[in-house]
Amino acid sequence: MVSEAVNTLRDEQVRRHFLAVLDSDQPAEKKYEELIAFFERYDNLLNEISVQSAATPQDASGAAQEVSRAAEKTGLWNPQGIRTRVEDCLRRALQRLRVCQHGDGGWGYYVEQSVTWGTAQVLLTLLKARRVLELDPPVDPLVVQARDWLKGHSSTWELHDIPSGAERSSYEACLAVRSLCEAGDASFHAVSRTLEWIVTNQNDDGGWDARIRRAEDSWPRRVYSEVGATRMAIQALVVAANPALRQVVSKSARWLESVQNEDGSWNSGSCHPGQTKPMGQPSISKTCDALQGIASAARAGIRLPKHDDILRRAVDWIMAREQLRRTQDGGQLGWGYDDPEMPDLDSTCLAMETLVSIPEASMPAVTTNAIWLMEAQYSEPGSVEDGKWSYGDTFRITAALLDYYAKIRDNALFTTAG
Amino acid sequence: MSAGAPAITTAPGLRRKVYIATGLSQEDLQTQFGAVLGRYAQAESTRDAEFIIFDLDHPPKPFAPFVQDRRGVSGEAIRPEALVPCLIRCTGATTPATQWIRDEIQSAFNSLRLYQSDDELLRELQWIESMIPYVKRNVTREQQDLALAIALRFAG
Repeated sequence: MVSEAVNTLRDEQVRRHFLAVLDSDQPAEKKYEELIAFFERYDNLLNEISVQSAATPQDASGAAQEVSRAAEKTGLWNPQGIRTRVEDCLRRALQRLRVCQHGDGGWGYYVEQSVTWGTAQVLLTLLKARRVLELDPPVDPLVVQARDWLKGHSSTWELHDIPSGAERSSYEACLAVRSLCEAGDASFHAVSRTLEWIVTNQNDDGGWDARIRRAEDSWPRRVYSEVGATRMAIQALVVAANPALRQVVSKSARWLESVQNEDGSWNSGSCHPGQTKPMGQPSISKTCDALQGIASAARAGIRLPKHDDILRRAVDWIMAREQLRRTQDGGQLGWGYDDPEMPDLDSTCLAMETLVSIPEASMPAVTTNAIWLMEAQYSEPGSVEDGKWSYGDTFRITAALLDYYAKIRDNALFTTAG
Repeated sequence: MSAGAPAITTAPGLRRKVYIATGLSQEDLQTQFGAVLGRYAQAESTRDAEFIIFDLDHPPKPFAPFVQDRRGVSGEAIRPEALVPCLIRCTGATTPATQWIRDEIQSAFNSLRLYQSDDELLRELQWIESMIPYVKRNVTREQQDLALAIALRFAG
């Protein structure tokens, strides 16, 4: 019995949790009670799972189902409640996307100022929504308008023919390409030209620059490899099933591997002339970017030899940065991430979006991220503002929650006892 | 010792696990140990078991691993490796072969009791069960990880 409790307390996630509890400003007695309550919950749950388990060995899905049923019976887990809550949150978020569309058919972050990033995010979100939800009314007209806006404004995001002195974002161009390819516009001329640009402008080290200037400008080019830009390029190439995919993506995945920090993270900055590793501090957002880039490459069949080890170290690093959000009376609200580079809702969104794309991610843990995001959704029934995230990117959070919903829909852990 | 067995502390519905060390086939085992298996789950190995019953009427081959290794343990019939009680059932007359095993067992433990009926055996199991407040749960590592994450993050 003693050794069981000691082993439990040595578990990394338990250690992190109770260090956070000890570090909180709750009264000492409350902290002590929290520790006891956890062991009681855990013990009851293990007993209940034992009761549920049949004598015969089960497959992984049956085993997870037993946990779900046991946890539901002990009152800890409410899979139907979680599903209903996500569905309601997504319904409101999608309604918000409908009503905040601009007059020109695009989307953006300020009134009537449509931008490529926002419109491409919305297009990806709508395509995901169409795949995982039954939508009434359908979003097809919005999909068409988002595609038209991106195609009609391609001169603002394409990486060819950049005006002298101007600067473009490779993030934006890659996102536009990815969203249009997913919408079935891979043959659109700006898409194919941008894909060609991505292939021919890969840096010698395998990465891509984030900020792009025209070749004639006196500014060093192709020496500022950056993790996020590299992830965006990989994802665009993978979605487009570009013929140069294997060679180019393989090189970029190897670059990502080569610049992973010893602790599993990636840095926030970019490389510089004579500086072969991205500068800056270890960053949650860049670590998520790198993970998504490597995971996308692997899904396209380009798997690094040390894939599992790279992912494990990165996921451990990310999860070690997760923080418990509490209600004013000290109850648990959810779990989120703080990154100096991004507001916490956006970094939580990025972490969740990344973790759900990895098969090994702990779904109870990801669920608490989803809960934290849903808690932060703005609620004002009947208002056009209802369903937005005031302090986060509504388009992207909606997409991340759609990914989460798609993942739990057929997951045995979310099967209800009934 | 076994009279007036106290209330059992096991979680409701949870069948605790017994390993039966026997030379019987699974089919004969179900017949011969029906009373025990009606109440307890059959463990597939001593490692999973919470109790071991040694069938002296039909000893397993080899028998020694179940009763002879008693390093660091004296007095009681406890199997050291599994650290669980080992009860010896002997309902019939011993044959020369089983008598030899019985003598070996006798020399291995300071005090030895043979259970000569299922009633006697069940009463003793119930008494031990009530004394041992833990259960070797039938939970896989994956289930344990999921349970830990849920218990840690969801207070109900």
